[in-house]
Amino acid sequence: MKPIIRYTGTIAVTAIAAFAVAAYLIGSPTADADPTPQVVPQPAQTTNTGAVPAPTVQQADKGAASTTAAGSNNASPGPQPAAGATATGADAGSAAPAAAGTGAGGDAGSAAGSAAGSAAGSAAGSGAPPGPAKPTIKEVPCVDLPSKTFNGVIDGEIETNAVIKFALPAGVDAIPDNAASAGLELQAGQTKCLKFEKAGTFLFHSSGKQHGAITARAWYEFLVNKKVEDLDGGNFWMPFAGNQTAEESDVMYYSVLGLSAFFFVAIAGTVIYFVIKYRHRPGHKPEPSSAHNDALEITWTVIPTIICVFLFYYGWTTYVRVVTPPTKAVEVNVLAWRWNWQFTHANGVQDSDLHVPVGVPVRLVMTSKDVLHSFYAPVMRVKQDIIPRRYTYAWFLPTKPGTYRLTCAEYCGTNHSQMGITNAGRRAVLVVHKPGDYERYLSDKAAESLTMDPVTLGKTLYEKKGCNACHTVDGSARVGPSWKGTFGTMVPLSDGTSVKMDENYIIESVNYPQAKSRPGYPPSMPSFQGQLKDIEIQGIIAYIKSLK
Amino acid sequence: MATSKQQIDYGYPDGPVNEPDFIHVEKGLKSWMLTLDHKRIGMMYLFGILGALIVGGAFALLVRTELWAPGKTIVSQDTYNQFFTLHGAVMVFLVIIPGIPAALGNIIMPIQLGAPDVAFPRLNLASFYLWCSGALLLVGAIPFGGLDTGWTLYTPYSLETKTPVLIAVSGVFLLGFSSIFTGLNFLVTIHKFRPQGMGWFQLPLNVWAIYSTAIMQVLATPVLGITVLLLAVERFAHIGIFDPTLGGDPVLFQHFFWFYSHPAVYIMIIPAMGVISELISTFSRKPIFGYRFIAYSSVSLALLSFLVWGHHMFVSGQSRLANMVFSALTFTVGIPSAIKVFNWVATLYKGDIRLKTPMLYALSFLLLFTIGGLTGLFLGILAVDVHLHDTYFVVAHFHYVMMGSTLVAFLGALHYWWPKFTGRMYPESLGKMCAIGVFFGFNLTFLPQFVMGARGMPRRYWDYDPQYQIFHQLSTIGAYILGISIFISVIYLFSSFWNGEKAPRNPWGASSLEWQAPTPPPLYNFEKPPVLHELYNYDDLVEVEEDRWERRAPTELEPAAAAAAAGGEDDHK
Repeated sequence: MKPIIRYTGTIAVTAIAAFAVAAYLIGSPTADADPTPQVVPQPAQTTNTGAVPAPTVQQADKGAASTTAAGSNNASPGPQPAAGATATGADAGSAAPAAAGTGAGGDAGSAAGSAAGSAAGSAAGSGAPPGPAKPTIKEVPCVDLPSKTFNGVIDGEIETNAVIKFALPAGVDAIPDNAASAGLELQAGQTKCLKFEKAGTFLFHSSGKQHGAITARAWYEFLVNKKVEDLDGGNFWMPFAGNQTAEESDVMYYSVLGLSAFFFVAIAGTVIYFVIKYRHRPGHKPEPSSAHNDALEITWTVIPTIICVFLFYYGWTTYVRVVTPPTKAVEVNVLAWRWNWQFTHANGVQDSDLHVPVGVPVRLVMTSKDVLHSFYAPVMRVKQDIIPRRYTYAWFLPTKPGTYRLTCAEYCGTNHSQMGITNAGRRAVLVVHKPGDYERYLSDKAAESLTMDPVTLGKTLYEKKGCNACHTVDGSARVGPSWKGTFGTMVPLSDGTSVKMDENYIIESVNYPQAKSRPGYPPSMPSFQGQLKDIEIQGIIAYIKSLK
Repeated sequence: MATSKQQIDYGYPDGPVNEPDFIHVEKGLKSWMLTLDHKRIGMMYLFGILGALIVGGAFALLVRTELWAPGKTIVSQDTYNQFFTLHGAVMVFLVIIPGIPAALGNIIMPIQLGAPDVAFPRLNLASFYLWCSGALLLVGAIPFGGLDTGWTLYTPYSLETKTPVLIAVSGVFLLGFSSIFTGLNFLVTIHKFRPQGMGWFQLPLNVWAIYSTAIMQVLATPVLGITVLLLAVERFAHIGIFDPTLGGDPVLFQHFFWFYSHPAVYIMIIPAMGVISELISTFSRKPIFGYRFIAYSSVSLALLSFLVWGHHMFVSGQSRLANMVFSALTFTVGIPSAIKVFNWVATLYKGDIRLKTPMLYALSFLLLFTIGGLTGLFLGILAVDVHLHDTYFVVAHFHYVMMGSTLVAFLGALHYWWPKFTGRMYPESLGKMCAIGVFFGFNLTFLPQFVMGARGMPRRYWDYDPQYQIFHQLSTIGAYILGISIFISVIYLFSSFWNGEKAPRNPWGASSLEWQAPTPPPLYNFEKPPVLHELYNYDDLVEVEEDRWERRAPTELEPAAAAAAAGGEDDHK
């Protein structure tokens, strides 16, 4: 039987080597999933002596629009997009690096995304709330360690309520574009620490008429926009196990993997050995051998039976432990619909990404508004179908803070693969917070909708409530009609009449979507009755109004 | 056991056949459309099924092409959803379920019994026309907008979608009846049409498998019919069975659906197991090892398959008690499957293995079915299934069973019996190349999907994270190799009608009765009653030239061979 051993060994070694090579070739799993932070092309203009700052302009109202960097230092601000310097909007929602540059030369010290910048000026004109009562950008003493330091004229994203140190080089200054940006005054060469108390886009320009914009977003928005960390700490076979009980089911997985590999190698090895040894060749004849053997057949009936009994037993007992939640758990209500999630926390905070604390059991109470969905967080090894008009439950105990993937695993139609996707292309995530941060998230998030101006609130809800799955804001039709440029117009209805698109029509459509449906669009919109506060409906109306 | 010992006639030598074969006995379209001959009906099934295979395969390649890159590659979400729905529906309902029983079973099974035809020839023709109508409706859903519910038709999505669910489920309903009629017909045929002296344990294992399949077809398919009927009524009359807004239960649909569709998995795989038993025994020149264990395991699989449907619903919200029971029962189906694999491997032992194309397919089946079965263990374990459910791991697992096993066995069977019912040999070297192409293409397609699934890639996704792209691309390349190999096979098989070598009566030296019939058989299969020999005993079959075997009396054999034959007498009698 030596040849058997030889072949078995060869096959096993080959298989292991093949997997090792495959795993190596695929390489570090983090490498290919990284939405590389946008590298802003350096302007081609080199006539200036100093280093040329590379701006990025974040335009709050045009999340999907191109971010254009134009490095025309000596040109007056005008629509001059530099060829080849256009980046797609895919990561407009991700943290773009704040490009820092030190301009040394005269009025060219600042550079601006001129094309987008000027457009941003007009968009912000309509988007900004008319005359805020008090400025939300405050100067603070630079005593704490600054979270972020900017040199030169800045464009980029910062956290709200973080202390940011601004250090402007000589010859560069910043003047707010409008009242909303009050507080952003900086003189050339000045160093100042600022705190942005409110989320939003703050526009400014330099005396050299270069435009810039700073987008302030809540700290948790940075977490949800992080790259998912499923495979950090995972291996070739499985993502990282972020649930306390996941270890147990993973042990089962690897045991069965080993068992299967053993049986496969044994069976395949025997087949190949027999085929080679007993292959037909001149002079070779079949040798007489028994056509059955009770002892052998009973053996290979009993052994699989015993293995199956063990597998069932351990699978079952592990499963019971894995699905039984502890009595005390943080409860989150989950509502799924085509095609978004809504996670409602104990204090009423609602979000389309799931935020949970680390080290505390989390229990999900889930239902669906329309068809079947399934909550699936691969790092937690948790999956549970979500059924309309019925509650189902899931729980997990996160062990490591991070941002993880959260998917829908039960087919639910058109955007099944993109549940909760934002216009910037980011899908729903599960954020596990460091100790204390979950509470901070709940209170900050609760305060957020109160401090937002109506247009920003509407825009936030547009993505958070999944309106963006069906309605565009750029005029193109998707599953439903676009929101752009329709407010105040007469829109045709399916019954042949038409109606004025005004506040009343929007409220009716939110609560009773099928009451006055538009021709050419399937009546698939779910009702949002009772799920939006008055202030939120007003926000959505304000946002639609702003989309001219 | 009826034995040939006392008889002088050892079967038919190749010689002039007096009766015209079934292909030439009558001519004209009408003679085919109204035929009651099981072989002609089987041939028509075969053409239909191969056509559907190409349609389903084209959808598979479209799906794989779309998945080459994340986001949109060639089509939008809605179109992609229709692609995978039609791929699944066409492959399951039109190809794999009727593939071996209705097409090859129809052609071969009555001859294996030594019977002139099936018990109810008119019912047989009716079932073929039901299949045609069902196929037309199912494929006809495409011009009406294309079904997008997934082949599983889960409610409440299938109640709400604007795609032509009614047309498609009418098709499924008719296909169900086609399947029931075929099963009923075969049950009666196997009970009543065995020749004298052929007891249950002298039946070829292929017949045992078709018998087990027929039991399931008759008992399980009515549930599918009722389920799709309820779905149709729910859709236009809103009676509130499955619709949660009317007080119905969408999960009830899943119970009904899988009560049929799990046995359907065995409707697909058991005939394949029967075919493999024939192929492995014939090409190893060895009696099948553990005939009774294999026969019993077919029947026990058929019965157990009714009790495990709940393992499709471990995360659907059914009770934990139900999960426990279904998990335990699921493992019971693993045992007969394992027994079969071990028996097939043992059959190879001390054989004289001839690696003809059908045998290459049979060996592929052994390896692929082993992978399909072992990965089933992962999914039967409750704790592990929660993570793997509805991911690509499941997709890969059931493709290993349905395609890697059933379709590979179907191709093996097609090559094995092709000379018998067409009278022509297929090109052997091309056949081998395609068999190897199918094996490697298949593994390249589906092995990466196991890894993707374990890493958390959900199924039915049009868009995916970039981390999965390399696996999707390997899978797509494999799918093209697989598709091209199968396409070439279909082409050379058909062209062999015209330019294939003439096939002898018994090209493989097989022992079952169909090889005693002339090639191709006449209208009633045999010119005179066939002679029963001991099944799976190859001792007095002699290869007189390449691919041409004849039966000789032991005395006619060389002394050494005769001694070997005497020593090799089956010792289980």
